[in-house]
Amino acid sequence: MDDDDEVPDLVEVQSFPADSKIASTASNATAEQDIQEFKVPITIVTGYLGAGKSTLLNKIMKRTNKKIAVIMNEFGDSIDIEKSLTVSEGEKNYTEWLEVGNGCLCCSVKDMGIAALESLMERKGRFDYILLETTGLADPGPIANMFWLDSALASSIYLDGIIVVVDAVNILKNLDDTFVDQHHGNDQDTNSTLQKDSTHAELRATSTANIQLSYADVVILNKSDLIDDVTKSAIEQRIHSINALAKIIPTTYAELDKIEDILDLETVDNDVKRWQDTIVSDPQSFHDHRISTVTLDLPSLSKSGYEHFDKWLQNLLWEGYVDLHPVEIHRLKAKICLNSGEVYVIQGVRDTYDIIPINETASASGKIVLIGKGLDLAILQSSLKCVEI
Amino acid sequence: MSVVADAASGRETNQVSGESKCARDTCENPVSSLQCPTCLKYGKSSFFCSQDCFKRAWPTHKLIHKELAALQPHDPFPDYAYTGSVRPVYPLSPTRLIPANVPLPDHAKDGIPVAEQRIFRSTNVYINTPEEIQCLREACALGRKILDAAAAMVKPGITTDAIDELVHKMTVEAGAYPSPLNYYKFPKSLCTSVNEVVCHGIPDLRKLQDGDIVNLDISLYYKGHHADLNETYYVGKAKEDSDNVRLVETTREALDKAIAIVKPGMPFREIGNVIEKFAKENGCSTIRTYCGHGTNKLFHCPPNIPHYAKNKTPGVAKPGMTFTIEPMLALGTWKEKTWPDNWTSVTIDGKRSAQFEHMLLVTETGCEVLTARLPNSPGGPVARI
Repeated sequence: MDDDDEVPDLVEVQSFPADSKIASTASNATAEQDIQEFKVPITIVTGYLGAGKSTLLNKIMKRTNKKIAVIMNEFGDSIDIEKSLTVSEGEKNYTEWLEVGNGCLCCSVKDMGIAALESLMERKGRFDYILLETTGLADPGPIANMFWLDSALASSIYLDGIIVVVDAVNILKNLDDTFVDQHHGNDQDTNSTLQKDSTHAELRATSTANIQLSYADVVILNKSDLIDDVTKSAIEQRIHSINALAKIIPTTYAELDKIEDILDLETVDNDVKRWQDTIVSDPQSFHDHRISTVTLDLPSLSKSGYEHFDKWLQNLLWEGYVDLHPVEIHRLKAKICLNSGEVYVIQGVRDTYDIIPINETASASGKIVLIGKGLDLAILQSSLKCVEI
Repeated sequence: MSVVADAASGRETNQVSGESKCARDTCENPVSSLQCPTCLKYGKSSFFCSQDCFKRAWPTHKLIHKELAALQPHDPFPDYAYTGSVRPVYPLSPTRLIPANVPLPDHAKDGIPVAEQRIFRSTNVYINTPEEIQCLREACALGRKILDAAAAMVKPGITTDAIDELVHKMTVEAGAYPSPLNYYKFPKSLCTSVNEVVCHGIPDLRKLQDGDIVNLDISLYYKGHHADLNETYYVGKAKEDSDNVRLVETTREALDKAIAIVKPGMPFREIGNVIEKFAKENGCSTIRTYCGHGTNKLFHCPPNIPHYAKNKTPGVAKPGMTFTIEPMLALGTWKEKTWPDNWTSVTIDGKRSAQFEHMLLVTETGCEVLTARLPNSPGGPVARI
């Protein structure tokens, strides 16, 4: 600020100048360039330690010329101030640091890690793709919701999909482990409704492998060269019973035929085509508190029927009940057809759901696909009856 | 603009008087009418006998300038591209002290609200017991009393730091802790947001100007519970400007309209639909980054309550819940950015923004406004022009 090195000339004055205030050198604010016309997809990659997550990420980076940012681990635990990410661009790999603000973000709707990511791209140019690798024991649900921002927030990042990498040799054993799950969904709330926790206690006994699979858009069944065909088909059946929506891709050394199979999944239209024909052939989840997929048909709804349906959804997703039976929904997809001709797609992750109008002529009926714990087809069907008026 | 600088050497305080000697320590010459231009800029007189003597004194003399600069009301970020006309005026006053008898929230010591971080991103909303509700009522009544006293100070020429001083004093004298103080290291005891400042403005030496609008956001921790409320006030002739009035009154009414729908079973996401619709009808935009929040034993906790339409916020209101609704509306864009102080949020087009906040208790049939205005509260609605 002060010209320390050069001695200025003394000035001759009889009195102080009238205006002795420090002139601000601030340039006039140039209206900030309209930010973020672009949207960068982010894919969450999860799976147990040793399943092949890192191998998969390396293969993706090698196979594409895209500028890809890879974020490791505890991104969601936003208490750390310093976060790094690896950027891969062609042959180059380098590290970038995120400047995570230390301000109060408790009353801010956007996670500060995401804000930091956006500001990094504003300063240094956009990435083509972001891959987020979670820790082996992570529950992808809360992480997915963190990146599933309201469109009103005009984020430059959107959630594209969730990939779960499993080790074909160990997956059946992992699915049957019922240890831990202490970390469940960050919902441990010392200050809150313990009542809800205890009612749901019976829903808790599930291994992390089940939880991770329940969120998958794509399951990479890695090390599938090490298992025989019978085992492989048993595994596929088991995964399908948990999450009938997920596409299962067997790999060896996480080597994919087509990268397009796992990236850039989530345009809504594409998505509807992908899941609306989902059929759960064997609804074996009767009184089974493990994670399963259930599909329900839904007739064309009147306006009031739609309102009832929304209340039914709120009860299911927010209160965790269907007719007094505890449930825990991890993912939800639905197509709703109204008598008036509108068609809506509903997507849900845990307690968050979004209703999106789509351009499609209303067919006779809609459909709901639910993935979660405590799903009983008969109970769900009977509870839905009230909606169909 | 006068500054009393106790400079390093006694000689440096020489004044324009016949007997004074040159400001260089070992020089015995009488002063000329020549003085240091830098000191002069800071409002201080340093007379030397000659340019030559000044040159010899420079290596030590220049050190004074740093001290003067720090004490001088100044813009701490002179190179920052401000979006509007409001500037921070530093130095901030020294950190205000908390008497030993005042119970502290967990963030008071090191700035980290540990209990809030523990439930980070939970969506479970706490239901207060009748005893806790009583404490919340008392905390909110105290918050109202202090906001009203602060609002009574609002007039041209008052610094926001002076308001902070009063708020801090009243809060601790009542046995309460001013919740903003040291919350994630926030330096002051309330937030003061002027004109284009959306929220989280830091009280400083800037004087309120005739025609400003200013939001005073009071939070305090009393009997183990936090209260949180704010209002925007017109400074002097500000209420003669139709845009100011449209902005401020629309924001005030948007909050009232949102409060009107709060009852058991109301989805939290509906609040944003009501606010944004009304804002649009009145030509205002809705700030999206900051939202209402639960407040109870914790300063900020679930639920998150966005003020913009079409949000996906889960959950419905239930009796015994307490939370704030605190819409921030703007005359121009909804986009905001943060000053390099890491707190002050301003609209990126520099147009004005207003905010109102109440803390609500959901009852069996509707809601109770815990921070409601009193008949004699300063401020209040003015007729649109």
